[in-house]
Amino acid sequence: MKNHWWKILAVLLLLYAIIMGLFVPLKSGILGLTPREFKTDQKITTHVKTYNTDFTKGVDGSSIAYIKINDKFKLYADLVKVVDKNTLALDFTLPALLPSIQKKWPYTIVVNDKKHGAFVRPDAIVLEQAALNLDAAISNWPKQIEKQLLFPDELNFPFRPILYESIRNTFYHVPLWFGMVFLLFGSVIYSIKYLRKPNHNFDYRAKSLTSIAVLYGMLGCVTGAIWAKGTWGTWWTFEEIKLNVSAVAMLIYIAYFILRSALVDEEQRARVSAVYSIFAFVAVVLLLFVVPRIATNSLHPGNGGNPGFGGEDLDNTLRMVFYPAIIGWALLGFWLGQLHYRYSILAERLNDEFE
Amino acid sequence: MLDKIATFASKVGNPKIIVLAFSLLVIDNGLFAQNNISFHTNGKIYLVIGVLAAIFIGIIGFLVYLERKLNKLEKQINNNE
Repeated sequence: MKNHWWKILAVLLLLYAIIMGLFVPLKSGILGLTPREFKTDQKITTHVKTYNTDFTKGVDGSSIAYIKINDKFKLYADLVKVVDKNTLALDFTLPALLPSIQKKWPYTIVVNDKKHGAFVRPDAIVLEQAALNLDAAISNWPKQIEKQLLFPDELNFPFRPILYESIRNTFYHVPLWFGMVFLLFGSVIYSIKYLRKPNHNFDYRAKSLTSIAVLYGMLGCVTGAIWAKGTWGTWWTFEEIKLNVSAVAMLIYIAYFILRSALVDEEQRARVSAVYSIFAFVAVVLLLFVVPRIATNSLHPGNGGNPGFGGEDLDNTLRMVFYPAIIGWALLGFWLGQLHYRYSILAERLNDEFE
Repeated sequence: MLDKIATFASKVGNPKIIVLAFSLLVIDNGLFAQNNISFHTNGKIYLVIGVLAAIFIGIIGFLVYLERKLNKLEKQINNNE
């Protein structure tokens, strides 16, 4: 049992990732407004369709909603009414002039109550003013009492339009790629060990870890394709640099196995594939983590100059599950790799005995 | 989807299926009602299920591959003994 603690850790971490990843609810969010375009200088009513909410018990006094014109100016709703379980009706009195330099512009809408927290939807409501007059708009802006936003003390994952619940795939799709890189790194360590001291076991370990890494990479491609189909609307696109580089990374490691099978002499095969694996690892890390940042326009997070691990794509509640998930999937990979390795050395020993 | 299973089960008339479907319904309502998550709406939860299923199939595929290799090895041992 002493040598198996990391396998138990893998199971526990994966259980944690699956249970937390599936059961922590999303934050409430705004799906859309109907109608969403208005001219100013009138009283309006708009219906807000929300996600993961329950207004059947009515809205309490804490419910507020406002249109965010800019950082300084907010327009609070006169009244927040419940239409049905997930729909609110908001009444606004739009002044003739808005403190904005845009004639027609989509503004952010914010809804808040104690039970559901604050939900924000950028570009949700389009307001069109007849004339532009910033000074008059500011001086005529209705006096309103600033209200504090209230938040429930609950653990929630962020609500992101288009993604919705599939944001949970952060714990199942992304760690496969991290796990793949860890496995390949392990393979490089054994390759270096082999080059320093030619022992066949090191070669077999490197090969087994690489096989599992390729399995993880392929699963990463398949799971990414499923996720892309539901969010981008396509299984695969060659316009995404991240997808291209991961395909190239896969090809590099498929070439590793072709290279191995082409070499008959055992020592030569072990030496050549060890050197190849070191260079391949450097190439794959550059491809996966450096090249995509050159892209300026990308749907896939983690591209375009900055890593994607910040902002709303990965907030602290996601991190709580995401980092353990990475360790869990990586350890599971090492476990599978160990099984494959143990098979390999057994097979080799038997072949030596019988031949 | 679960209500579809329930209606299907009541059409089929197999008591086991009916019990299974309704226990699923009870679990479904009990677990998710408080959080207002309905697992059969437009929340795209099916993408998460799909991804988990794909990983599961991949790992099972690896186990099958390993088992077949082990079978071959066992056969080899038995033939040579």
